[in-house]
Order: sequence, then C-alpha cells, then structure tokens
Amino acid sequence: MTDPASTDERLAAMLSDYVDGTLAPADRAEVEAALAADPALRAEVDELRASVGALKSLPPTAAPPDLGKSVEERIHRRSAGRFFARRTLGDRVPFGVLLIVALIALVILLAVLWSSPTGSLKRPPPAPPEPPAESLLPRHQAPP
Amino acid sequence: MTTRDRELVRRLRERDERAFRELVAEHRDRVYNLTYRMLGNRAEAEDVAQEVFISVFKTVDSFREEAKLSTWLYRVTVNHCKNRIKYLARRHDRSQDELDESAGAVAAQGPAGPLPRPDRAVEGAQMEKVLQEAINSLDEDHRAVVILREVEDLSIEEICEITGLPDGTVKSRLHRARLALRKKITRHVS
Repeated sequence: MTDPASTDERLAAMLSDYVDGTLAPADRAEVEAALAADPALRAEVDELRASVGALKSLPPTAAPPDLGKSVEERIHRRSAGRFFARRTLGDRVPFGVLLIVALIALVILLAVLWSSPTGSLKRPPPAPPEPPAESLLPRHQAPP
Repeated sequence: MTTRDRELVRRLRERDERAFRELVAEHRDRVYNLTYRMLGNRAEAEDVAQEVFISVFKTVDSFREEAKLSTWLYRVTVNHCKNRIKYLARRHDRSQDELDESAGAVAAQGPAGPLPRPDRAVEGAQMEKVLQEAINSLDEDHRAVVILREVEDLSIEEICEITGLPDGTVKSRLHRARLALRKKITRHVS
C-alpha cells in the first residue's frame, strides 16, 4: 500500500518541476491528469507560477563598493597583519616604478664610472708613435 | 573546476593577498545578494558577507577541488546565513526583521497602490518589501532553497550540491517554500 505522505511528497516534488517546466513527459501527463480532475490544484499551480514569477523578478543587489576593503581591514585587525603571506618587493611596488628606479640607478652608475679617474670606462691615453726601424740601430756603429 | 579557479585556489593557499582581492572582486555581488536576500537587512548582510570571505580564506586548504569554487562559496554563504538567522532568533533581535530602509522608506510614503503583475518585473520597492517580508517569514532551510532557486537561478542539482540534500528533499522544500510564499504574496500580486 502506498503511504499517503510519500505520495504527497512525490506530488509536491512533481508540481515544482511542473511549474519550472522540467518535468519528464510521463510525469507531466500524470500531473496534468491530476490538474484536470482537481480545480483547487489548478488554482494552486496558478498561484505558484505567480509567486515564482514575482520572486524571479527581484532585482539583484550589488555589494557595497568598499566591501573588499572592509574585509581586508577586518583580516588585518584580527591577525595583526600576519594573516597574509609576507609580500615580496614586487608585490608592494609596481613593476613600472621598479624599472624606472633601476634605469636611474644605471645612469648614475655609468656617470660615476665615467667621471672617475680610475673608472674602467675611460680609454687609456694614446701610445706615443713608434720610431722608424733604422733609428733603432746605434748611431755610431761603423760598417764592417 | 576551471583552470583559472584552480590557479586562484593555489594562490589563496599560499596566502596571496592579491588572489584574495581577486576572489572578493569576482564574487562579492553574488555573495552579498545571497546574504541580503537570506537576512533581509543590509547591515547584517554586509557583516555576514565579510565573514564569508574571511572564512573562505581561512579554510581554503580544506576545499576539495572536484566542486566548483562558486558552489563552495554558495555553501559557505548559506551556512553562515543560517547560523546568523539562528543567532538573531535566539537573541530575539528584531533587527533581522527590519527591512532595508531603501525598500521600507518608499513603502512608508503612502498607502499601497496597485502592484505590478507577477509575470512582469518587480517595478517598485513596495513589491520588493512584500517579497522580502515573505522570504523572511520562512525558516532558514526553506529560505535557503527558495532563494538559491528563484533569486540565484540555480538548478536543482546545484542546490543539492550546495546544501548536501538529496534531490527529493530539495524539491519538496522548494515546493513547501513556494506554497508558504504564495499565501503571503498572492493577495498583493493578484
């Protein structure tokens, strides 16, 4: 024998699917037969459709714009700043700023090297011209 | 779970602050809308939404990656909301019944006039107030199911995954919640 309570549960589940339009054809035929025989059930379905339509038209509610900031503040307050992992320099300073600082440092380094008397960028002074080959012979050497 | 969500979860597990910001930016409206509809009060909704993100960040190590990240967020949000509803009920705090001023203030401006048909978009704050009051009258279990289905537009399968309930129980709760809401809403929408 079928338990009336379980039948109600089953019909309840089927009615929701029927209102949603997701009921399998065989089950839909069963519900429609029940609806045809029961005006009260028809009225119930109509009212369900009306309620569902109203609920679905509720406008979405956007979060407050500072929600993210508030969450982070709450986290930092509770954890005394230890909640998040230690951030690297690259996380704290934008890459563009790091690049500009690196270029400025490079320019300064080059300028220092250039102006230093011992700097490796300075060219050595030009060597004196080599004397001609005959001048290398002793001046007063007699021919044999 | 998508590759992007997997990567986001990996970074969250490394306590990456930027990953946390991305998570909040991506899901804040979804989480807040659910907390607001569950609690019917902006201040409570914002407070619970913050707790949801903190909880997600703290417990991300226990997240099993076979579920979608959004599903897990919904689950955490629903659980937080249900706990808050119980807490407020225990405290007999009337504030949970106070509707948002933006909806209530308009309703208080004059007597209720003709309301829009239910098959059209809800056009006024009065109707929103009626609907939110009807939702607030449900217990937390029925409230969660009907909001996930009608407001968040999730499938029955997704609701089963979020709530951990079998298919038949979700459908049964949904139907009972709809019946209860119908009684409160019908006289306003007909």
